[in-house]
Amino acid sequence: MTNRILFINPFKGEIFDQPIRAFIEKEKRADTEVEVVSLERGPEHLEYHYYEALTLVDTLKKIEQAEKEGYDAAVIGCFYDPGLREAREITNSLVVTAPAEASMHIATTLGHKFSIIVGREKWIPKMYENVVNYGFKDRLASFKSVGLGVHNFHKDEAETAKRLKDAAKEAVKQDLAEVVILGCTIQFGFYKELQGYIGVPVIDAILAAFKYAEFLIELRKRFNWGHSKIYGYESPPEEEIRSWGLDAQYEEETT
Amino acid sequence: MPNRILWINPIGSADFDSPMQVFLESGTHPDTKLDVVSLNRGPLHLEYHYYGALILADTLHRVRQAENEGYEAVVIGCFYDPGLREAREITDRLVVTAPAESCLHIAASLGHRFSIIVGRKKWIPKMRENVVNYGFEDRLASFKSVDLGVYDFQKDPAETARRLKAAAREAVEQDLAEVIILGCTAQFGFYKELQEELGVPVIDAILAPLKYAEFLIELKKRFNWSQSKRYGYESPPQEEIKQWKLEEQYGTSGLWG
Repeated sequence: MTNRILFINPFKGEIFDQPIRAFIEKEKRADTEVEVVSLERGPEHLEYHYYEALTLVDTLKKIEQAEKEGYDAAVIGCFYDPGLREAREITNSLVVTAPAEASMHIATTLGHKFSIIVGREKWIPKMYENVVNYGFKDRLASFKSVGLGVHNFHKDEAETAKRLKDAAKEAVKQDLAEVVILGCTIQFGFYKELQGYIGVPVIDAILAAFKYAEFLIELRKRFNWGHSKIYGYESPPEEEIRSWGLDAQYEEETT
Repeated sequence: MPNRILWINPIGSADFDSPMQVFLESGTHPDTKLDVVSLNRGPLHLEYHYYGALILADTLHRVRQAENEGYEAVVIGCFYDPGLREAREITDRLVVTAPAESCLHIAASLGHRFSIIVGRKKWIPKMRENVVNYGFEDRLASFKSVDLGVYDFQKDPAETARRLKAAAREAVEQDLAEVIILGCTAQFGFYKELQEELGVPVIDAILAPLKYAEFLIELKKRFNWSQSKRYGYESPPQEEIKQWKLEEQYGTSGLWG
Protein backbone atom coordinates (compact mmCIF):
# COMPACT_ATOMS: atom_id res chain seq x y z
CA MET A 1 0.00 0.00 0.00
CA THR A 2 1.44 3.32 -1.01
CA ASN A 3 1.01 6.43 1.10
CA ARG A 4 -0.18 9.40 -0.89
CA ILE A 5 0.80 12.90 0.20
CA LEU A 6 -0.49 16.11 -1.33
CA PHE A 7 1.88 19.05 -0.96
CA ILE A 8 0.00 22.30 -1.50
CA ASN A 9 1.79 25.52 -2.39
CA PRO A 10 -0.96 27.81 -1.12
CA PHE A 11 -0.48 30.57 -3.66
CA LYS A 12 -0.90 31.03 -7.39
CA GLY A 13 1.88 30.14 -9.74
CA GLU A 14 3.26 26.75 -10.63
CA ILE A 15 6.85 27.87 -10.82
CA PHE A 16 7.79 26.12 -7.59
CA ASP A 17 5.69 22.96 -8.08
CA GLN A 18 8.17 21.04 -10.21
CA PRO A 19 11.37 22.01 -8.38
CA ILE A 20 9.76 21.24 -5.02
CA ARG A 21 8.47 17.94 -6.30
CA ALA A 22 11.89 16.96 -7.61
CA PHE A 23 13.43 17.98 -4.29
CA ILE A 24 10.95 15.88 -2.29
CA GLU A 25 11.09 12.87 -4.64
CA LYS A 26 14.74 12.32 -3.71
CA GLU A 27 13.89 12.06 -0.03
CA LYS A 28 10.57 10.28 0.11
CA ARG A 29 10.17 6.76 1.37
CA ALA A 30 9.82 4.04 -1.22
CA ASP A 31 6.15 3.55 -0.35
CA THR A 32 5.26 7.26 -0.58
CA GLU A 33 3.74 8.98 -3.58
CA VAL A 34 3.77 12.75 -3.70
CA GLU A 35 1.85 15.33 -5.71
CA VAL A 36 2.74 19.02 -5.56
CA VAL A 37 0.04 21.50 -6.52
CA SER A 38 -0.56 25.23 -6.22
CA LEU A 39 -3.68 27.35 -6.38
CA GLU A 40 -5.38 28.39 -9.61
CA ARG A 41 -5.88 31.99 -8.54
CA GLY A 42 -4.70 34.45 -5.97
CA PRO A 43 -1.55 36.13 -4.78
CA GLU A 44 1.85 34.79 -5.86
CA HIS A 45 3.39 34.88 -2.40
CA LEU A 46 1.98 35.24 1.12
CA GLU A 47 4.21 37.96 2.50
CA TYR A 48 1.18 40.06 3.42
CA HIS A 49 -1.49 38.82 5.77
CA TYR A 50 -4.17 40.03 3.43
CA TYR A 51 -2.86 37.68 0.74
CA GLU A 52 -2.91 34.79 3.14
CA ALA A 53 -6.52 35.51 4.08
CA LEU A 54 -7.47 35.41 0.40
CA THR A 55 -5.97 31.97 -0.16
CA LEU A 56 -7.63 30.18 2.74
CA VAL A 57 -10.84 29.19 1.00
CA ASP A 58 -9.00 27.65 -1.96
CA THR A 59 -6.41 25.91 0.20
CA LEU A 60 -9.17 24.35 2.28
CA LYS A 61 -10.98 23.31 -0.88
CA LYS A 62 -7.83 21.46 -1.97
CA ILE A 63 -7.66 19.77 1.41
CA GLU A 64 -11.28 18.71 1.15
CA GLN A 65 -10.64 17.28 -2.32
CA ALA A 66 -7.52 15.50 -1.14
CA GLU A 67 -9.53 13.74 1.53
CA LYS A 68 -12.15 12.72 -1.04
CA GLU A 69 -9.47 11.46 -3.42
CA GLY A 70 -8.05 9.23 -0.73
CA TYR A 71 -4.79 11.00 0.07
CA ASP A 72 -3.26 9.94 3.37
CA ALA A 73 -1.78 13.33 4.22
CA ALA A 74 -1.70 16.92 3.11
CA VAL A 75 1.07 19.45 3.71
CA ILE A 76 0.22 23.14 3.58
CA GLY A 77 3.46 24.46 2.14
CA CYS A 78 4.00 27.85 3.75
CA PHE A 79 5.84 28.65 6.97
CA TYR A 80 2.88 30.65 8.29
CA ASP A 81 1.06 27.27 8.42
CA PRO A 82 -2.02 28.95 6.92
CA GLY A 83 -5.25 27.08 7.53
CA LEU A 84 -3.68 24.25 9.50
CA ARG A 85 -6.27 24.36 12.25
CA GLU A 86 -9.15 24.61 9.78
CA ALA A 87 -7.75 21.82 7.61
CA ARG A 88 -7.71 19.46 10.58
CA GLU A 89 -11.19 20.56 11.47
CA ILE A 90 -12.70 19.64 8.11
CA THR A 91 -10.97 16.30 7.60
CA ASN A 92 -11.27 12.90 9.16
CA SER A 93 -9.25 10.33 7.34
CA LEU A 94 -6.14 12.24 6.34
CA VAL A 95 -3.52 13.89 8.50
CA VAL A 96 -2.39 17.43 7.90
CA THR A 97 0.80 19.19 8.81
CA ALA A 98 2.71 22.31 7.85
CA PRO A 99 6.30 23.59 7.89
CA ALA A 100 6.45 25.68 11.07
CA GLU A 101 4.82 23.03 13.22
CA ALA A 102 6.95 20.21 11.87
CA SER A 103 10.22 22.18 11.91
CA MET A 104 9.76 23.28 15.50
CA HIS A 105 8.91 19.81 16.78
CA ILE A 106 12.05 18.50 15.15
CA ALA A 107 14.24 21.43 16.22
CA THR A 108 13.24 21.18 19.89
CA THR A 109 14.11 17.49 19.84
CA LEU A 110 17.56 18.20 18.41
CA GLY A 111 18.61 21.08 20.62
CA HIS A 112 17.45 23.37 23.35
CA LYS A 113 17.20 26.65 21.45
CA PHE A 114 16.59 27.38 17.80
CA SER A 115 16.64 30.41 15.52
CA ILE A 116 14.37 30.94 12.54
CA ILE A 117 15.81 32.62 9.46
CA VAL A 118 13.18 34.52 7.54
CA GLY A 119 13.22 36.53 4.36
CA ARG A 120 11.95 39.86 5.64
CA GLU A 121 11.37 41.46 9.06
CA LYS A 122 7.75 41.84 8.07
CA TRP A 123 7.19 38.10 8.59
CA ILE A 124 8.39 37.97 12.16
CA PRO A 125 5.44 39.14 14.29
CA LYS A 126 3.01 36.62 12.86
CA MET A 127 5.51 33.77 12.86
CA TYR A 128 6.35 34.60 16.44
CA GLU A 129 2.70 34.02 17.32
CA ASN A 130 2.97 30.52 15.88
CA VAL A 131 6.09 29.83 17.93
CA VAL A 132 4.19 30.83 21.08
CA ASN A 133 1.09 28.92 20.09
CA TYR A 134 3.03 25.72 19.45
CA GLY A 135 4.60 26.08 22.89
CA PHE A 136 8.18 26.89 21.93
CA LYS A 137 8.54 30.51 23.06
CA ASP A 138 11.18 29.59 25.63
CA ARG A 139 13.08 27.62 23.02
CA LEU A 140 13.34 30.45 20.51
CA ALA A 141 16.81 31.99 20.41
CA SER A 142 15.95 34.56 17.74
CA PHE A 143 14.48 35.41 14.39
CA LYS A 144 16.98 36.55 11.78
CA SER A 145 16.08 38.30 8.57
CA VAL A 146 18.15 38.19 5.38
CA GLY A 147 16.29 40.99 3.62
CA LEU A 148 15.04 38.87 0.71
CA GLY A 149 11.51 38.34 -0.54
CA VAL A 150 10.06 34.91 -1.39
CA HIS A 151 10.81 35.28 -5.08
CA ASN A 152 14.41 36.38 -4.50
CA PHE A 153 15.77 33.26 -2.83
CA HIS A 154 16.42 31.32 -6.04
CA LYS A 155 17.26 34.29 -8.25
CA ASP A 156 20.84 34.68 -7.14
CA GLU A 157 21.51 31.52 -5.18
CA ALA A 158 25.10 32.41 -4.36
CA GLU A 159 23.96 35.67 -2.77
CA THR A 160 21.14 33.89 -0.91
CA ALA A 161 23.56 31.28 0.43
CA LYS A 162 25.92 34.02 1.58
CA ARG A 163 23.19 35.89 3.43
CA LEU A 164 21.78 32.72 4.98
CA LYS A 165 25.26 31.77 6.17
CA ASP A 166 25.85 35.16 7.77
CA ALA A 167 22.47 35.10 9.49
CA ALA A 168 22.87 31.51 10.68
CA LYS A 169 26.33 32.19 12.00
CA GLU A 170 25.06 35.17 13.95
CA ALA A 171 22.19 33.09 15.31
CA VAL A 172 24.58 30.42 16.56
CA LYS A 173 27.38 32.65 17.82
CA GLN A 174 25.47 35.61 19.23
CA ASP A 175 22.01 34.27 20.01
CA LEU A 176 23.25 30.82 21.09
CA ALA A 177 20.98 28.88 18.77
CA GLU A 178 21.73 25.14 18.74
CA VAL A 179 19.54 24.48 15.72
CA VAL A 180 18.65 26.72 12.78
CA ILE A 181 15.32 26.60 10.95
CA LEU A 182 14.95 28.02 7.45
CA GLY A 183 11.65 29.80 7.91
CA CYS A 184 10.36 29.87 4.36
CA THR A 185 9.55 26.91 2.13
CA ILE A 186 11.15 28.70 -0.79
CA GLN A 187 14.50 28.56 1.02
CA PHE A 188 14.46 24.86 0.11
CA GLY A 189 17.72 23.22 -0.82
CA PHE A 190 20.11 25.50 1.03
CA TYR A 191 20.15 23.53 4.27
CA LYS A 192 22.91 21.10 3.40
CA GLU A 193 25.60 23.59 2.52
CA LEU A 194 24.66 25.76 5.51
CA GLN A 195 24.72 22.85 7.90
CA GLY A 196 28.18 21.89 6.71
CA TYR A 197 29.25 25.48 7.18
CA ILE A 198 27.97 26.16 10.71
CA GLY A 199 28.07 22.68 12.22
CA VAL A 200 24.58 22.65 13.73
CA PRO A 201 21.44 21.06 12.27
CA VAL A 202 19.78 23.32 9.71
CA ILE A 203 16.16 22.37 9.19
CA ASP A 204 14.69 22.64 5.70
CA ALA A 205 11.04 23.64 6.05
CA ILE A 206 9.81 21.48 3.18
CA LEU A 207 11.67 18.31 4.13
CA ALA A 208 10.65 18.71 7.77
CA ALA A 209 6.96 19.01 6.94
CA PHE A 210 7.13 16.21 4.40
CA LYS A 211 8.88 13.76 6.74
CA TYR A 212 6.53 14.74 9.56
CA ALA A 213 3.62 13.92 7.25
CA GLU A 214 5.08 10.46 6.58
CA PHE A 215 5.54 10.01 10.33
CA LEU A 216 1.94 11.04 11.08
CA ILE A 217 0.64 8.72 8.35
CA GLU A 218 2.43 5.83 9.96
CA LEU A 219 0.99 6.64 13.39
CA ARG A 220 -2.43 6.89 11.82
CA LYS A 221 -2.22 3.63 9.90
CA ARG A 222 -0.62 1.54 12.60
CA PHE A 223 -2.26 2.83 15.75
CA ASN A 224 -5.17 4.91 14.47
CA TRP A 225 -3.63 8.01 16.03
CA GLY A 226 -5.07 10.77 13.88
CA HIS A 227 -6.21 14.28 14.74
CA SER A 228 -8.63 14.23 17.64
CA LYS A 229 -12.13 14.99 16.41
CA ILE A 230 -13.38 16.14 19.77
CA TYR A 231 -13.44 19.84 20.74
CA GLY A 232 -10.90 21.92 18.79
CA TYR A 233 -10.93 19.89 15.56
CA GLU A 234 -14.61 18.88 15.70
CA SER A 235 -15.93 19.10 12.13
CA PRO A 236 -18.73 21.49 11.20
CA PRO A 237 -22.03 19.65 10.71
CA GLU A 238 -22.52 18.63 7.09
CA GLU A 239 -26.26 19.36 7.32
CA GLU A 240 -25.50 22.93 8.26
CA ILE A 241 -23.05 23.38 5.41
CA ARG A 242 -25.63 21.93 3.05
CA SER A 243 -28.58 23.91 4.38
CA TRP A 244 -26.59 27.13 4.07
CA GLY A 245 -25.59 26.18 0.54
CA LEU A 246 -21.95 26.99 1.26
CA ASP A 247 -20.48 24.74 -1.43
CA ALA A 248 -22.52 26.41 -4.16
CA GLN A 249 -21.81 29.92 -2.89
CA TYR A 250 -18.06 29.42 -2.89
CA GLU A 251 -18.05 27.29 -6.03
CA GLU A 252 -19.45 30.17 -8.05
CA GLU A 253 -16.76 32.47 -6.90
CA THR A 254 -13.96 30.19 -8.04
CA THR A 255 -15.25 29.77 -11.61
CA MET B 1 21.09 -2.33 6.49
CA PRO B 2 18.66 -2.58 9.39
CA ASN B 3 18.30 0.31 11.81
CA ARG B 4 19.26 -0.96 15.23
CA ILE B 5 17.37 0.47 18.16
CA LEU B 6 18.27 -0.27 21.75
CA TRP B 7 15.41 0.00 24.21
CA ILE B 8 16.65 0.39 27.78
CA ASN B 9 14.33 -0.35 30.67
CA PRO B 10 16.27 1.68 33.24
CA ILE B 11 15.56 -0.66 36.16
CA GLY B 12 17.28 -3.64 37.73
CA SER B 13 14.76 -6.20 36.51
CA ALA B 14 14.29 -7.96 33.19
CA ASP B 15 10.62 -8.70 33.89
CA PHE B 16 9.30 -6.28 31.27
CA ASP B 17 11.94 -6.94 28.64
CA SER B 18 10.38 -9.75 26.69
CA PRO B 19 6.71 -8.72 26.90
CA MET B 20 7.72 -5.25 25.71
CA GLN B 21 9.91 -6.66 22.95
CA VAL B 22 6.97 -8.73 21.68
CA PHE B 23 4.56 -5.79 21.87
CA LEU B 24 7.00 -3.34 20.26
CA GLU B 25 7.80 -5.69 17.42
CA SER B 26 4.17 -5.50 16.36
CA GLY B 27 4.82 -1.81 15.62
CA THR B 28 8.32 -1.74 14.17
CA HIS B 29 9.18 -0.68 10.65
CA PRO B 30 10.45 -3.62 8.52
CA ASP B 31 13.95 -2.06 8.53
CA THR B 32 14.14 -1.86 12.31
CA LYS B 33 15.95 -4.32 14.52
CA LEU B 34 15.05 -3.84 18.15
CA ASP B 35 16.76 -5.05 21.32
CA VAL B 36 15.14 -4.56 24.72
CA VAL B 37 17.45 -4.62 27.73
CA SER B 38 17.38 -3.61 31.37
CA LEU B 39 20.07 -2.83 33.93
CA ASN B 40 22.09 -5.40 35.88
CA ARG B 41 21.38 -3.82 39.22
CA GLY B 42 19.24 -1.24 40.89
CA PRO B 43 15.66 -0.52 41.90
CA LEU B 44 12.81 -2.44 40.26
CA HIS B 45 10.78 0.65 39.49
CA LEU B 46 11.45 4.41 39.44
CA GLU B 47 8.47 5.68 41.42
CA TYR B 48 10.78 7.49 43.82
CA HIS B 49 13.21 10.16 42.68
CA TYR B 50 15.95 8.57 44.74
CA TYR B 51 15.62 5.44 42.60
CA GLY B 52 15.72 7.61 39.49
CA ALA B 53 19.01 9.10 40.68
CA LEU B 54 20.56 5.70 41.38
CA ILE B 55 20.06 4.37 37.87
CA LEU B 56 21.46 7.34 35.96
CA ALA B 57 25.10 6.26 35.77
CA ASP B 58 24.30 2.75 34.55
CA THR B 59 21.71 4.00 32.09
CA LEU B 60 24.14 6.53 30.60
CA HIS B 61 26.92 3.99 30.37
CA ARG B 62 24.54 1.64 28.56
CA VAL B 63 23.70 4.46 26.13
CA ARG B 64 27.36 5.16 25.50
CA GLN B 65 28.01 1.46 25.01
CA ALA B 66 25.17 1.36 22.46
CA GLU B 67 26.92 4.13 20.55
CA ASN B 68 30.14 2.10 20.57
CA GLU B 69 28.21 -0.97 19.40
CA GLY B 70 26.83 0.89 16.40
CA TYR B 71 23.18 1.27 17.35
CA GLU B 72 21.32 3.97 15.44
CA ALA B 73 19.02 4.97 18.29
CA VAL B 74 18.39 4.46 21.96
CA VAL B 75 15.11 4.81 23.83
CA ILE B 76 15.28 5.37 27.57
CA GLY B 77 12.11 3.53 28.57
CA CYS B 78 10.60 5.47 31.46
CA PHE B 79 8.08 8.32 31.30
CA TYR B 80 10.27 10.49 33.52
CA ASP B 81 12.72 10.51 30.56
CA PRO B 82 15.61 9.96 32.97
CA GLY B 83 19.00 10.96 31.61
CA LEU B 84 17.71 12.12 28.22
CA ARG B 85 19.71 15.34 28.26
CA GLU B 86 22.87 13.61 29.45
CA ALA B 87 22.45 10.81 26.91
CA ARG B 88 22.39 13.35 24.07
CA GLU B 89 25.39 15.06 25.58
CA ILE B 90 27.57 11.95 25.52
CA THR B 91 26.61 10.65 22.06
CA ASP B 92 27.34 11.72 18.51
CA ARG B 93 26.44 8.94 16.17
CA LEU B 94 23.13 7.76 17.56
CA VAL B 95 19.89 9.57 18.35
CA VAL B 96 18.15 9.30 21.69
CA THR B 97 14.55 9.75 22.70
CA ALA B 98 12.25 8.86 25.57
CA PRO B 99 8.53 8.38 26.23
CA ALA B 100 7.40 11.75 27.60
CA GLU B 101 9.16 13.79 24.93
CA SER B 102 7.85 11.71 22.05
CA CYS B 103 4.30 11.37 23.43
CA LEU B 104 4.02 15.11 24.01
CA HIS B 105 5.20 16.04 20.54
CA ILE B 106 2.77 13.60 18.97
CA ALA B 107 -0.15 14.60 21.19
CA ALA B 108 0.40 18.29 20.46
CA SER B 109 0.15 17.53 16.73
CA LEU B 110 -3.07 15.57 17.12
CA GLY B 111 -5.08 17.91 19.31
CA HIS B 112 -4.86 21.13 21.23
CA ARG B 113 -4.92 19.80 24.79
CA PHE B 114 -3.94 16.47 26.28
CA SER B 115 -4.19 14.69 29.62
CA ILE B 116 -1.61 12.34 31.05
CA ILE B 117 -2.81 9.33 32.99
CA VAL B 118 -0.34 8.27 35.62
CA GLY B 119 -0.24 5.47 38.14
CA ARG B 120 0.14 7.45 41.35
CA LYS B 121 -0.22 11.10 42.34
CA LYS B 122 3.34 10.94 43.57
CA TRP B 123 4.53 11.01 39.95
CA ILE B 124 2.81 14.21 38.93
CA PRO B 125 5.06 17.04 40.19
CA LYS B 126 8.16 15.75 38.44
CA MET B 127 6.34 14.83 35.25
CA ARG B 128 4.76 18.26 35.21
CA GLU B 129 8.24 19.77 35.13
CA ASN B 130 8.94 17.81 31.97
CA VAL B 131 5.72 19.05 30.38
CA VAL B 132 6.77 22.64 31.11
CA ASN B 133 10.34 22.04 29.98
CA TYR B 134 9.26 20.55 26.66
CA GLY B 135 7.06 23.60 26.06
CA PHE B 136 3.61 22.09 26.45
CA GLU B 137 2.38 23.64 29.70
CA ASP B 138 -0.45 25.46 27.93
CA ARG B 139 -1.42 22.26 26.16
CA LEU B 140 -1.83 20.23 29.32
CA ALA B 141 -5.48 19.66 30.24
CA SER B 142 -4.72 17.61 33.35
CA PHE B 143 -2.92 14.78 35.02
CA LYS B 144 -5.12 11.91 36.18
CA SER B 145 -4.07 9.23 38.61
CA VAL B 146 -5.49 5.70 38.71
CA ASP B 147 -3.80 4.79 42.00
CA LEU B 148 -1.84 1.84 40.69
CA GLY B 149 1.91 1.25 41.03
CA VAL B 150 4.11 0.25 38.11
CA TYR B 151 3.80 -3.46 38.90
CA ASP B 152 0.02 -3.37 39.30
CA PHE B 153 -0.88 -2.42 35.73
CA GLN B 154 -0.37 -5.83 34.16
CA LYS B 155 -1.45 -7.83 37.25
CA ASP B 156 -5.18 -7.45 36.85
CA PRO B 157 -5.56 -6.07 33.31
CA ALA B 158 -9.35 -5.92 33.54
CA GLU B 159 -9.23 -3.72 36.64
CA THR B 160 -6.46 -1.59 35.10
CA ALA B 161 -8.50 -1.10 31.92
CA ARG B 162 -11.53 -0.14 34.00
CA ARG B 163 -9.60 2.50 35.93
CA LEU B 164 -7.84 3.85 32.87
CA LYS B 165 -11.19 4.20 31.11
CA ALA B 166 -12.76 6.03 34.03
CA ALA B 167 -9.79 8.39 34.29
CA ALA B 168 -9.61 9.00 30.54
CA ARG B 169 -13.33 9.66 30.34
CA GLU B 170 -13.05 12.23 33.11
CA ALA B 171 -10.08 13.83 31.36
CA VAL B 172 -12.05 14.17 28.12
CA GLU B 173 -15.39 15.20 29.58
CA GLN B 174 -14.38 17.37 32.52
CA ASP B 175 -10.90 18.59 31.66
CA LEU B 176 -11.59 18.88 27.90
CA ALA B 177 -8.62 16.77 26.83
CA GLU B 178 -8.57 16.04 23.10
CA VAL B 179 -5.81 13.47 23.34
CA ILE B 180 -4.90 11.04 26.14
CA ILE B 181 -1.36 9.98 26.97
CA LEU B 182 -0.73 6.87 29.04
CA GLY B 183 2.03 8.22 31.27
CA CYS B 184 3.84 5.05 32.22
CA THR B 185 5.63 2.58 29.97
CA ALA B 186 4.18 -0.27 32.04
CA GLN B 187 0.71 0.78 30.84
CA PHE B 188 1.66 -0.60 27.42
CA GLY B 189 -0.99 -2.34 25.39
CA PHE B 190 -4.09 -0.71 26.86
CA TYR B 191 -4.31 2.12 24.35
CA LYS B 192 -6.29 0.36 21.63
CA GLU B 193 -9.32 -0.65 23.64
CA LEU B 194 -9.36 2.73 25.40
CA GLN B 195 -9.15 4.66 22.17
CA GLU B 196 -11.97 2.71 20.58
CA GLU B 197 -14.19 3.30 23.54
CA LEU B 198 -13.39 6.99 24.01
CA GLY B 199 -13.10 8.11 20.40
CA VAL B 200 -9.97 10.22 20.96
CA PRO B 201 -6.37 9.23 20.28
CA VAL B 202 -4.79 7.41 23.22
CA ILE B 203 -1.01 7.46 23.03
CA ASP B 204 0.89 4.41 24.21
CA ALA B 205 4.12 5.42 25.96
CA ILE B 206 6.23 2.68 24.42
CA LEU B 207 4.97 2.77 20.83
CA ALA B 208 5.35 6.55 20.68
CA PRO B 209 9.10 6.66 21.44
CA LEU B 210 9.72 3.63 19.22
CA LYS B 211 8.16 5.40 16.25
CA TYR B 212 9.80 8.70 17.18
CA ALA B 213 13.17 6.93 17.31
CA GLU B 214 12.58 5.54 13.81
CA PHE B 215 11.60 9.04 12.64
CA LEU B 216 14.74 10.57 14.15
CA ILE B 217 16.92 7.88 12.57
CA GLU B 218 15.48 8.74 9.20
CA LEU B 219 16.15 12.46 9.70
CA LYS B 220 19.68 11.67 10.77
CA LYS B 221 20.43 9.33 7.89
CA ARG B 222 18.87 11.42 5.16
CA PHE B 223 19.62 14.97 6.24
CA ASN B 224 22.21 14.57 8.98
CA TRP B 225 19.79 16.23 11.43
CA SER B 226 20.64 14.95 14.88
CA GLN B 227 21.23 16.38 18.33
CA SER B 228 23.11 19.64 18.00
CA LYS B 229 26.55 19.32 19.53
CA ARG B 230 26.80 23.05 20.15
CA TYR B 231 26.07 24.39 23.63
CA GLY B 232 23.54 22.27 25.57
CA TYR B 233 24.57 18.87 24.17
CA GLU B 234 28.28 19.61 23.79
CA SER B 235 30.15 16.46 24.86
CA PRO B 236 32.54 16.41 27.82
CA PRO B 237 36.18 16.34 26.69
CA GLN B 238 37.51 12.78 26.44
CA GLU B 239 40.92 13.89 27.77
CA GLU B 240 39.30 15.13 30.95
CA ILE B 241 37.39 11.87 31.42
CA LYS B 242 40.64 9.96 30.89
CA GLN B 243 42.66 12.27 33.12
CA TRP B 244 40.16 11.99 35.96
CA LYS B 245 40.19 8.19 35.51
CA LEU B 246 36.40 8.09 35.44
CA GLU B 247 36.41 4.77 33.57
CA GLU B 248 38.42 3.05 36.32
CA GLN B 249 36.37 4.64 39.07
CA TYR B 250 33.03 3.62 37.57
CA GLY B 251 34.13 0.25 36.18
CA THR B 252 33.56 1.18 32.55
CA SER B 253 36.94 0.57 31.00
CA GLY B 254 37.08 1.13 27.26
CA LEU B 255 33.77 3.02 27.19
CA TRP B 256 35.40 6.26 26.14
CA GLY B 257 37.71 4.72 23.52
